[in-house]
Amino acid sequence: MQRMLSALLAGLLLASGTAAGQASTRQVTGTVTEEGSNAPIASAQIQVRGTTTGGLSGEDGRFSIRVPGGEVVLVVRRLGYPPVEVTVGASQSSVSVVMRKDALKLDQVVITGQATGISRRNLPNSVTSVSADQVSRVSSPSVDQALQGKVAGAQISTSTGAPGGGNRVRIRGISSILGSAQPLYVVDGVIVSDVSIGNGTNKLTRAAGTVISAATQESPVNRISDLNPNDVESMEILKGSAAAAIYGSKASGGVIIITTKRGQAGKPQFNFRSGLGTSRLAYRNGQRKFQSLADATAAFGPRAVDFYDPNRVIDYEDVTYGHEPLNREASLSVSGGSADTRYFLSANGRNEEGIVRNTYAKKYGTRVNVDQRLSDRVELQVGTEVLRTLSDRGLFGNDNAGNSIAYTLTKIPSFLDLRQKADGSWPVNPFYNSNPLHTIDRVTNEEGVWRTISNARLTWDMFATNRQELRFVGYGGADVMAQHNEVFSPPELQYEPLDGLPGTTVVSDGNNTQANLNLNLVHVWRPFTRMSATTQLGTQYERRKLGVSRSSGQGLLGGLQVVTAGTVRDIDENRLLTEDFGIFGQTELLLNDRLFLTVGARADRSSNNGDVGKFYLFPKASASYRLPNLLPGAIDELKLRLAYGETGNQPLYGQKFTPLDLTNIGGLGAFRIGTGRGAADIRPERQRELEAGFDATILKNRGTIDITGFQRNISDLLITRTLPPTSGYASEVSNGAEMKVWGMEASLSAYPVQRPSYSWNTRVSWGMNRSEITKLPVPSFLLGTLQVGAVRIEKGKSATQLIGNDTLPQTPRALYPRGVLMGEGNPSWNGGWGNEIRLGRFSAFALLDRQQGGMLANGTWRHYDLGQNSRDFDAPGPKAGQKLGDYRRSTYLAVTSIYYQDASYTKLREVTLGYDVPSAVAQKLWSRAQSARIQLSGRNLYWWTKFRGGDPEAQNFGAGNVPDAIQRNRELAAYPASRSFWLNFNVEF
Amino acid sequence: MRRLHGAALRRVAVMTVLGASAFAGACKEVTVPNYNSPNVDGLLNRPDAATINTTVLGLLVGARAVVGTYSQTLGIFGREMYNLDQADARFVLSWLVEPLTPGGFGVDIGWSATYRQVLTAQTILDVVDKVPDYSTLQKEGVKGFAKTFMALALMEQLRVRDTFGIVLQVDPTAAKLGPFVTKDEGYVRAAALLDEAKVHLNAAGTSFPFTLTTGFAGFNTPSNFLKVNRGLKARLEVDRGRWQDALTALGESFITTSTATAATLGIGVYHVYSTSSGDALNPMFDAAPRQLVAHPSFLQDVQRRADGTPDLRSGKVAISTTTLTSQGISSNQRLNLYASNVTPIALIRNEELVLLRAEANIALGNRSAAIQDLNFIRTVAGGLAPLPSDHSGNLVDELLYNRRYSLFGEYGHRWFDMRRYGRLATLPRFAPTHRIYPIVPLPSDECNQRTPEPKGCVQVSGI
Repeated sequence: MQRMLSALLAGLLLASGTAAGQASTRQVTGTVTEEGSNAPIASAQIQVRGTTTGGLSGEDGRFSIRVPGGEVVLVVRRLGYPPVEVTVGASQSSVSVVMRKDALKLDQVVITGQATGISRRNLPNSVTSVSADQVSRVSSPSVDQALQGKVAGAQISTSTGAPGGGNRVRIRGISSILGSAQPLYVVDGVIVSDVSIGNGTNKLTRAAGTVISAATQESPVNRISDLNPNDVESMEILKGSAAAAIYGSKASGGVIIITTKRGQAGKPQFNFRSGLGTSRLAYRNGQRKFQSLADATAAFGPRAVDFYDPNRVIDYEDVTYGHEPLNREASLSVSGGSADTRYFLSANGRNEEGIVRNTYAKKYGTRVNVDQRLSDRVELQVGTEVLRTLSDRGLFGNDNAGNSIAYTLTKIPSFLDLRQKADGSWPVNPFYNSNPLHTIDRVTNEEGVWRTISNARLTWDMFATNRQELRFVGYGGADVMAQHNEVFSPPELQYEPLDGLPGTTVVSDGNNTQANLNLNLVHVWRPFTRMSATTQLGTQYERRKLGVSRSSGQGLLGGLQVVTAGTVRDIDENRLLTEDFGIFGQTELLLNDRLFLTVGARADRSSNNGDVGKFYLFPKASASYRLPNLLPGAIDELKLRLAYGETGNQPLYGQKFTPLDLTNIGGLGAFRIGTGRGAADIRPERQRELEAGFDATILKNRGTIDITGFQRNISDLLITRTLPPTSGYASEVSNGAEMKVWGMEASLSAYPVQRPSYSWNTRVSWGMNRSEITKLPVPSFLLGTLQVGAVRIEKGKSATQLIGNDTLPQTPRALYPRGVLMGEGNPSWNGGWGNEIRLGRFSAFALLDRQQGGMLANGTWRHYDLGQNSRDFDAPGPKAGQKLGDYRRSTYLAVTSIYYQDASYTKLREVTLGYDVPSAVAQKLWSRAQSARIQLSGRNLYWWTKFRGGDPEAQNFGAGNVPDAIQRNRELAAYPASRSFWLNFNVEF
Repeated sequence: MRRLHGAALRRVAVMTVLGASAFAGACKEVTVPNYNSPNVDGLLNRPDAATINTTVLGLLVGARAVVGTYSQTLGIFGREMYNLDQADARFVLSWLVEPLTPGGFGVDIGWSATYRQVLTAQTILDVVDKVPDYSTLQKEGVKGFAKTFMALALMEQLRVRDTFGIVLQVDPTAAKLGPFVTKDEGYVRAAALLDEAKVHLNAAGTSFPFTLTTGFAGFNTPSNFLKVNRGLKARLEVDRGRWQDALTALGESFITTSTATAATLGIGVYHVYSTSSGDALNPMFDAAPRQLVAHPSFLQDVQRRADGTPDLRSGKVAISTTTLTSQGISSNQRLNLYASNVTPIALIRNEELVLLRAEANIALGNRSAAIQDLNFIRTVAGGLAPLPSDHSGNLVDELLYNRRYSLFGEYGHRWFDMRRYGRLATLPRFAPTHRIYPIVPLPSDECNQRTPEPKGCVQVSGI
């Protein structure tokens, strides 16, 4: 391998010419201004083409640089503007450069290699870019939530309404049945963790048995939400394999590349933003009004006599979810520096409370980004951020112990008064294990995260001539995260003594450390003026280590929270280590600024594979062709593109092992054969994707339309096959199945009206996808059980088909032996539509987000029925004399679809109303202020859905053993969703 | 070809060396072990005495793992108890009201655990002869112990699936799954395993190579454990109605009526529990209660003692201050079988053996022998008056009464007894819509992947 690399390098050197010799120089001065407004453009980078010399424009747009003698070409670059090239004659000493604002972002540079990028104008793949203002327009708890409705082909759902979020991102539908399906997140070149570590509330709820924690049942925060959305300069979503192939065997779920803000040369520029907000319960389930004592005793047993009062109707959703939080946020950033040293510093804080008392999410963070030119050839960029996240998300979700708050609400009749008494004591719930109001008051579920993400990037222009450049780009970084959880349920709570062990405490520590290092050589070759070839070779090394240890105590002596107070103690630890190494190479060829060709490949090795020494090769190739001025005025430019790429999906740590379970009995250690059979020969999934599409710039450059179709064939699909129990195992991991996923995406971005005093812009994004299992070497199998709904993995069928029980029409008490198809878990399509109108100093923005189709089991509703407590329980059922609620609760085990509902929705995702304070007014208030803005905004203000109760997005857990990669197809007692409102104030100085 | 500029050449050379060395360093492949548990590979390929001894203890864990499942589920089917879990209505709806279906809630009832146990036992048997640090005697001891527990797992599952039959062999690859055999063939195999185990135990010397839990006190040598093996054989023979074989096995078991004390009834082997991390708690201990309540018929049907007080065994149920209600059923009669959450649960004990002998003698027409054993149980366990030695009443009724109250809440004996004697229809129902199931279908994971589908892949509507 080393010899190959040296040979390649030598080849590059032989093909190159002599670097330009030193010659006499001269001074050139000039100005950079914006087209139309003639405003000066500060911090524009001016570079003499073919050299590494250059400079920056000042605040007045002026610059002065030394250039070699003779005619030179200046390349002027500034973020938000297409680069401009100006020829400066041999005798010319001043020049004026006019740059045109790139409203449609056609000339934005999109990352296409580990160390290279290409102008969006030539991009051969569909890549969605989301800019800073789109990310932070409305205060959101996390960067992934801020993408909702803005990315064609991405399904982003919030699995809980709890403060601090918890999201699921699916790009281009399902890409795996078993492996990881979350996208890969890369922040300034560092692969960062999106791990979800459970909080340990399972010890209280027993939702998944007696283990301390079961993350799938605890709606944990996915840790990408630690990042501060206000630091984001841009986000690129690499959707397909062709674009994501540079990330090899980690990229099958797509890649989200986040670039943070960097300093601009000049005097310090401050930006202060603050906000106040609140939120309100968004949806009510309602509950039954008991018309008679007979109804009450039928539902709650003979003791209802002591509590029934026809005149008392307490709205428990009001009482429980009626907290009116005061949310606050503030951030301050400063950017500045000289031509050689630029910096960006920021600090932020956000304190969000929930609609349930004692729940909150707080975030604090600081970031330092420094760009330092070490010599005229070497530039170093470093960045580091320190993040602190704190939350208490209450006790929610599935429950087998009778203490989850939303679950318990389904079992409380409105005539029962559980509110705190005047003497401070709490009534005992006679009908259920807990008083949820008391639980809210006393249970704590605290989570604290410390996290540091640091990165460094060294660019060394090894040589540059008019024809050739050779550059070394090395970058890497580390993401170090420590999560600490404490769950405490004091002994006096009603449910606590039920197991004979009053009081429960859980302490968990999760530590995730990951680091990656990329070394790249980039060679640019311009044999002719109209041709350039960019070649790069690189390596990537990544290491990830995760350890989670937990301990719990029950039966707490003295009611103390410390685990050692427990008379029964339990401990648990899990470790994970993965090391990956990849080699990457590609060549990009641009001809006549019209034809763009790429070929490349990546070879990957991972310690998670069965054969740890084997490299798996993932090639890619793509082409695009521009047709400028196709139909001037109607279609100003058309680009056709075609891309093919392969990516992998690594097995997860441990899937190659068949474990012996560790346990003990009466103080003696014991081994049992584990329930899951591993695969010693396990290898990555291979996803081959072909993507074709076109981009059109239309209506005098006022709009763009992108349309993309894709088909991916995934082979060596990792499956956890449910085994017949007589194999001795419950499940087996294997490669071998194949799946096809195809779909389409479209996006439209337009500025139909663009005047200095008023404007309108509109963006539409839309995406759909379908899957089909094309090969299954094992018999079809169910994931989950028929009674509550399951997914059947079956050749020729969608990988997300939902199967449930139903009764045979001829013999109504008998069931279809293999169940019936209830519907499709995957939505038919997702789309978003955003509009912004600007009138003078006022602006208004609204974003609608729609999901069409998809199915979700409504567990909360089912539990209202089972508690004989649902709002329409007394309505007439299908049979004469039978109540509707009685019909449903006595039928759902035979007819599963009763509680499965269409999860279509349209949400008014974001609304803002903004006012730019005139600078004269701002300066009158504070002389240093340059600009100020006041904004009123809201998130999830309204929605239209037929889904009953709760939030159709809140897929808080998967049925039984349905892996998260396919879907979480059940909603049950999630923390309810809320509407949030913010008033923000922004000032630059 | 022109020469490169010197400085540029040097830079490139430096980078080449750096890049190549970085690459060479990274080329070392990394093998990451399983940090979280040992692997089955090690057991199969490099078995040693310590690992096998620990895996034998795994058989005790496996046998213990199904106790709660059998006692609760079959106990509900046999109307010994209800599970009125307020957070999950399926313990009522699925186990009392709806038909049992392969895809339904909780029809697994030990099926998966049984074959996990068979796989663990089979793996031990496959490698025990390769263990270098076992003596020949020790190998026999391990085999005798493993085969006894494999037989126990199969005979417990035979009760649940009855005429649907069971599978005898596990197939870890699932490529050639073991065939279903009839109930009779299942009993033949389980009996053969117990008899093979007897031969091994007789050749196993004076001690096992492994340490057993305190639940095996008095039964932790090969010769004493053989008495447990024979007790299980007696249970199996009674289950399949081979009465004389049952008496033969009982003769070699630990049965005793020499001392008329409650302690005598409790002689046997036990599953032990502890509160230490990684261990389990007694699944039938529910003092509050939060789930388990007795069926009201238990206290209603109890016989009276001479002084008018109820049968002492009625103390297995106590009245709680808490009333549980689920889907219309309410009860405050909690189970009072065990003193704490770490009280051991019998795997087999003398009280059952005496009842087995009584049952075999009834079937063989030895009424006086049967009455003698029944009276031992009546007086010692129940504090009831003995039956006259020439008692002419229906001894089967008397036997079933005593089995019901002596073995209440243990393994679902009641449901099985009522089926054996054709009396399921006499079990009480809470409402006309409630069902009594004679048999349990196979779980859908077993059904879906076998062609043709096994006989047990049907809906059981019950009676």
